[in-house]
Amino acid sequence: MVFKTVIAIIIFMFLFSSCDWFKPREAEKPWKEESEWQEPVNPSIVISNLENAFEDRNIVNYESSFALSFIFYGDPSDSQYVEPGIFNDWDKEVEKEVAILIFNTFSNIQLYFEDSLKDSTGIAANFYELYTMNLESIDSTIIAKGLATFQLTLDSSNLWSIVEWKDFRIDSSFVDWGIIKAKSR
Amino acid sequence: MKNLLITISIFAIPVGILFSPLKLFPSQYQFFFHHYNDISSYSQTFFLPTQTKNMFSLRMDAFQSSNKNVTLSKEETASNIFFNLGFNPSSNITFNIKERASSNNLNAENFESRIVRNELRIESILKYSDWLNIIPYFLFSNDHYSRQLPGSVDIRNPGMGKGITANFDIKDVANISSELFSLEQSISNEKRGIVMGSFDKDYSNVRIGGNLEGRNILTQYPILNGEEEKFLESAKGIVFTEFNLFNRLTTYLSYDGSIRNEIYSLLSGYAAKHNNEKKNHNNYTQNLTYSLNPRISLDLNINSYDGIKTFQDGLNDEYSTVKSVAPAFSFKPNKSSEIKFKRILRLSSFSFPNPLTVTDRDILDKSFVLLTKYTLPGGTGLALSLMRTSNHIIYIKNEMSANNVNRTKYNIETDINYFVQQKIKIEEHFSLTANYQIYDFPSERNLFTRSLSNHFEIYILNFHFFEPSFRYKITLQDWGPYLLSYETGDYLYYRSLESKKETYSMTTKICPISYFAFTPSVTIKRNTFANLNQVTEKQKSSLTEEHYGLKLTYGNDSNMKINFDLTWIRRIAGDDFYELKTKLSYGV
Repeated sequence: MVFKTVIAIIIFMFLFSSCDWFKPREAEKPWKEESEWQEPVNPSIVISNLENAFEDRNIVNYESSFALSFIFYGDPSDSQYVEPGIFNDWDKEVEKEVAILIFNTFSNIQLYFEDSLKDSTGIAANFYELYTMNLESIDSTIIAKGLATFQLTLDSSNLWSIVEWKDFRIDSSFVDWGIIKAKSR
Repeated sequence: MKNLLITISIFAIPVGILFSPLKLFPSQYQFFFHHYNDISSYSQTFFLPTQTKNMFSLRMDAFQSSNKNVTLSKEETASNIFFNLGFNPSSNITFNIKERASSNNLNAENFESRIVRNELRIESILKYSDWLNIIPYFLFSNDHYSRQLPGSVDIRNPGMGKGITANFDIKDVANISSELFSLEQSISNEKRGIVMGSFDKDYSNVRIGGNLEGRNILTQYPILNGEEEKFLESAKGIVFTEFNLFNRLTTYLSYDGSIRNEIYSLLSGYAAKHNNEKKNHNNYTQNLTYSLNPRISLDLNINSYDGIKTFQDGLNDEYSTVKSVAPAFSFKPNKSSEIKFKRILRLSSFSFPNPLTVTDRDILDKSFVLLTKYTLPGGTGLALSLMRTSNHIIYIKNEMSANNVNRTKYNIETDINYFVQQKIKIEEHFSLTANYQIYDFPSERNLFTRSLSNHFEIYILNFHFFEPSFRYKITLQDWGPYLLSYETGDYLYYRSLESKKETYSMTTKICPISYFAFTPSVTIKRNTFANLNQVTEKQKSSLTEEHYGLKLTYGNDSNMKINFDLTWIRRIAGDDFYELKTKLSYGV
C-alpha cells in the first residue's frame, strides 16, 4: 500500500512539474554583433571581459564577471566627495544597478587598464590595475583615474570571477571609479 | 611588527587596569593577528557586560584594528570605545550616560587622513508600568575630518540633537514603538520619525501575526562642490497566518509589501540634480505541509512577487514579477534511511519601459533534487544525491537576444563515512558534474564542461597522544565547445582545455596533555592545465605549491585559549611567502 502511494506521489510530481505554467516570453532574433567576450578560463580573461563589457556598455557581460558573493569597497578617502555610508553593503546586485545607471547616463565610455601587477596561486588571484577612463554624456565629459585591486577565485565550473574589488584614488586632480559609481547609486 | 608590539603594550595597560578591579565579573578579551603574503592585520576587542552595584551599572566594549598592505604602501587603523554608565534610583526611572568615540586613520604614499567621531548620549528611561516606557534623550555629536596629504583639509561638525522614543507593549499581543529625533550640526542636519508595530496571537489552531513600520528621514549635508539633501519616506509590513487542519495539514499564508520614496536633491553646486525614486513591492507566500503518515510527508511552496521601481526621468523604470512553485516529498522507509525529492520551478520577468542599455528579460529556473540517506548510530553512513538544475535567460529584444542561453548542470554525489570509536574514521566523497551552456541562437559559444572529483580522508584514532591523518583530493576537469555537427545532425563535444588539481596532505595531531596540542602538517598542491586546441598554440603548464604548517592550541578551564597557526608556502613558480594566524581569547 505504502509503495503504491509513493509511486503515485512521484508520478504526480513529475506530471505537475511538466505543466506548461511557466512559459517565458518569445525572444526576437538577434541582429547586433556581440561585444567581445571569452569564457573566463583564466583570471586575465575576466579583467579583459570586464574592460570590454564596460566600454561596450553590455550589462550582461559586465555582470557575468562578478561572483555571487562579490563585494566592492570604495576608497575611504572618497568619503568627503560622496554621501556618508554610500559604499556600505555594495554587493553584486548593487554593482549591477549602478552599472545600468552609468551605461544609461554616458553615451561613450573608454577604459584603459594601463599597468597591472598579478599574483596568482592557481585557485585565487589578485590583480592590481591602474586605470584611466573617459566618460562622455550629452552635456559633459569626465576623466577618472585610480587603482583597482581585483581578487578573483575559481567557481565550481572552473571559471574565474571577481569576488572583491577595492578602488583607490591615486591622483587628487581626478575623481576615481568609486566616486563615479557612488554618484550613480 | 614593532608598531604592533607598541600598540599591544599601550592597549594592555588599560585592559590590565580594567581587569584587576573587575576580575570577579565575566569579561572577555580577544586578539587576532593575520599575515598573508604582503598583507598584515591585527585586531583586538574587549567586552565587559553590564555590571551592577547598588544603584549604579557599567557596561563597556572596545575595539582596535590595523591593516597594512606592503604592495600598496597603505596602512589603515581604526579604534572605538563605548561605555554606558547607568544610575537607577527607583524601579521606574533609570538615567544613562552613553559615550562612543571612534578614530580612523588612513596613511598611504600620497595620502593621509583621519576621521574622529564622538557621540555622547544622555537619556532617562521612564517606566510607567510593565506596558509603557518613554525615553527622552539628548545627543552631543562631534565629527572631525582632517587630511594632511594631498593638501590640508580640516572639517569640524559639532552639534546637538534631541529625541524621544516610546514603547507600548501589550503582553503576548502587540508591541508599538516610535521615535522622533532631530540633530543640528554646524554643517549637516537630520530629522527622523519612525513608527513600528508588531502583533502575534494564537487562537487554538490558528496563529496570526504581523509587523508594520513607517519611516520619515530628512538629511542635509555638504559635499565638495555644494550641498545635498535626501528625503526618505518608507512603509513596510508583513501579515501572516498559520493554521493546522486535522493535525495533518499545516498551512502558512503570508503577505509582505513595501512602499519607499527617496528624493535626492543637489541643493547648491554644479550640475543641479533632482532624482525622485519610488519603489514598491507585493509578495505572497503559501506553504502547505501534509503528513500522510509518520513516514510520508508532502510540502508545497507557492510564491508570487511583483515590484515596481520608478524614477523622476523615467529612463530606468523597472517592473518585475517572480512566480515559483516548489513541491517536495519525503519518505522514511525506516528509522535509518530517508528519501527526499524536491522540484523547483521559478519564472522571473523584468520589463523596462524605456530601455537604453537593458532590455526586457525572463529567467526560467528549473531544478530537481533527489536525496537518499542511510545512517547508522555512531557516524557511519551513506548518502547519494542526484541533481539537475537549469537556468534559461531570455532577452526579449533583438539587440540583446544573442546572449540568450540555457545553462544546465547535472550532478551526482556520494558520501561514505565509516567511523569506529577510538579506532578509525574514514570519509570518502565522490562527485561527477556536467555543465551544458547552450545558446538559443546559432553561436560558437556553446560550451560543455565536465568534472570528476574524489576526496578521501582517514584518521587513525587508536593512539593515546597523537592522531595521524591523511587526505587527498583530486579533481579532473575538461571543457570545450559543444557544437552542432552538420554531418551527424547532433551536438558534439570538442575537448579543448583540461585541468587536473591534486592535493595531498598529511597531518599529525600530538596532544601530550589535555589542554595543549601541536599539529605539524605537510600539504602538496599541484594544478596542471593543458590547452589542447588545435587552432591556437598547444600549451601545458603546471603549478606546484608546498605548504609546511604548524598549529598550536592551548586552552584550559579558565577560559583562556590560544591558537597559533603558521604555514610556509613554497612555490615552484613565484615567490615563497608565509601565512600566520594567531588568536588569543581570555575571559574572566
